[in-house]
Amino acid sequence: MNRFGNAGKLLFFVGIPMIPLVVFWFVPMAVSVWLSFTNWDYISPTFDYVGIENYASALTSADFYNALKNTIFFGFWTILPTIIFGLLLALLLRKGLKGLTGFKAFLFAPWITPMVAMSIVWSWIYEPDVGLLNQILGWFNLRQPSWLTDSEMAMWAIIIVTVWKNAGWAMLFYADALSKIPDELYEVGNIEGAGWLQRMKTIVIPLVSPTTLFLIIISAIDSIQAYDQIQVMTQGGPAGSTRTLLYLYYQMAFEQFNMGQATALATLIVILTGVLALIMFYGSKRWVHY
Amino acid sequence: MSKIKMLHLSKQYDKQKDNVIHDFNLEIKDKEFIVFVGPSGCGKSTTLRMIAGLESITGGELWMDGVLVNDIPPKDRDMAMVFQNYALFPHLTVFDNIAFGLKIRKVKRDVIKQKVEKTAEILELTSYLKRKPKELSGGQRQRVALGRAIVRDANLFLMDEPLSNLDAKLRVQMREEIINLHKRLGTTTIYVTHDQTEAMTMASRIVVLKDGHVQQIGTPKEIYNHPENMFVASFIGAPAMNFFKGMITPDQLTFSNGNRIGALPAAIDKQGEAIIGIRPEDIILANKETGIPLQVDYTEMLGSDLYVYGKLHGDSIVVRLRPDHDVVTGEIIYIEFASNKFHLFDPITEQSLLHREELKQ
Repeated sequence: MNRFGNAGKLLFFVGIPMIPLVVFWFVPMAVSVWLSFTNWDYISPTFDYVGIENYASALTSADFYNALKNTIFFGFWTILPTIIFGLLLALLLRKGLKGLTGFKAFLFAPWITPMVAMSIVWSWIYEPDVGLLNQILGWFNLRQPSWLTDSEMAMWAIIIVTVWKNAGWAMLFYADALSKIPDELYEVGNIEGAGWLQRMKTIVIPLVSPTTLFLIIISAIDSIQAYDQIQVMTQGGPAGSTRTLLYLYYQMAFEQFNMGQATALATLIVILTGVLALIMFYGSKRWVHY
Repeated sequence: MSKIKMLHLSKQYDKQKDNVIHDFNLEIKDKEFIVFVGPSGCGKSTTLRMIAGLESITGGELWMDGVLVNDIPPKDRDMAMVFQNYALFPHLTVFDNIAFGLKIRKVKRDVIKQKVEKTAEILELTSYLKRKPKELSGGQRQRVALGRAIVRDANLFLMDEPLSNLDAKLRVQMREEIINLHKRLGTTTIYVTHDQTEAMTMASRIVVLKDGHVQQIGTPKEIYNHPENMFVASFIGAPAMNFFKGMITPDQLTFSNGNRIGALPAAIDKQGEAIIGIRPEDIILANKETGIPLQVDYTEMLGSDLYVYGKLHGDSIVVRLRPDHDVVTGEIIYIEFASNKFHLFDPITEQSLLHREELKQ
């Protein structure tokens, strides 16, 4: 009786919160995997099973590898600066400057602004002739690129917006992590004669490593899921230079109506994310000090 | 030549009107073990941190080995510091924690290994060298912190309440270890504590501080037997010294009502009202005819001693008796004071009325 009672309680407390998870996550995911073995075109009620053909064509297409390369490039160049700027800003703010709270709020503001709105503003800033950025570059007689229409520069334009949005957010996490490092550890460094670089290497970086891992994981997922800024500013162009895996999925599914191939791609994205998480998990054992 | 000389040292924080350290003067000789003792907020840690270079000096001069070091950074003062909460790097092993200072100073790897191993041997840490601090007990962690200090062969050790985070038993054990370490290495040490037992048992000389002012500097015996003011008299010694109001007449000490307390401990210039101090162990049981009656409020049995609490002419006093005395609450006991054990203080300035020469005797 008691056992049944416990099982009932378990079902009640775990089962009810599981309902939305099952309905909106497990079921669509399972359906998506199932669809990846079909040639459904998103509109017609009929479709055929095609086996692993969608996967085979994805893994042999140049578009896939181009998008994979773009995703890795975008991920690496957003995560690294986000972490470096976040930590540097947090270190700067640790000094106890006047008006600190206001400055923190100012730096954090981009994070709470919707990416779509921000991307629209940035596309004006990037405007080649009258945009603010090229005006400033012009004052210093620097090259004024066509940010969003030059295939060399478009990805960097997207990266700058993303880093700008995320750095303030990373700063808040680092500020908290830094505040938890006891002053005595810096004082030991001070007494032993550790310079700024040595203090960073031996005290700060190891002791904020759990925060760094957390930020890398979240930023990596965030960069795989990046869509808004690409959609508003470049729509994957020019010449596919800003087409990431997720944007390729979007184009396959909702522009080309090739749902079978799109869901195969989505499944590959999930597998890639899983592999990435595993690498980070094992890497963390060696590099992260809790 | 003195090892360390502090001349009119003072400290004032920004935005604060008053100094937190006032006119601190002290000369420390080589191999001395100096203890700064005082209640929380008395400025003992601040003074230590000024010596370390972790706090700026706002007034006065600090000399080390004949060099004025006011503006010399901590790393060039050739000292090592041990902190209350160990200040170990959680991500480094015991070996790397001890070797930290040597690695920063780019000492050769084989020299580091040799020195760390020797230090670990002294502190009995050899089998823990590969462990991280979180895998160690409090006592072991503090030994690692000591190891980091001694491995560098520094000229001066600064210790900021290193035993405060340990339990009572471990504190006694570590106290002994630090004393032995000092005997073995002979390094000049400045040790900060709020615990008067640590001060009494470890120090070559004690500096008693209150509100940023030095109250008295002396050997543990001097401080205990000849306190210069009521604060020192009450702070050093447990239970604290008893104080009660009395009168000094030309030939004796009396209570305010004129009843005789005892003979004068020394010739005193001043006559009239005074605060009389006597330590609990200098009060002895007497017979009914000659003794002063004391109603027992309560007792504390400590095993080695029996503390008896009561009131004498309105002032609380405590008597320290041998544990085999049978005293119960509510009982009236008769006491007398050991001759020549009185301490006399001015009721207004609270300074001792005994002359400096007599204090030194």
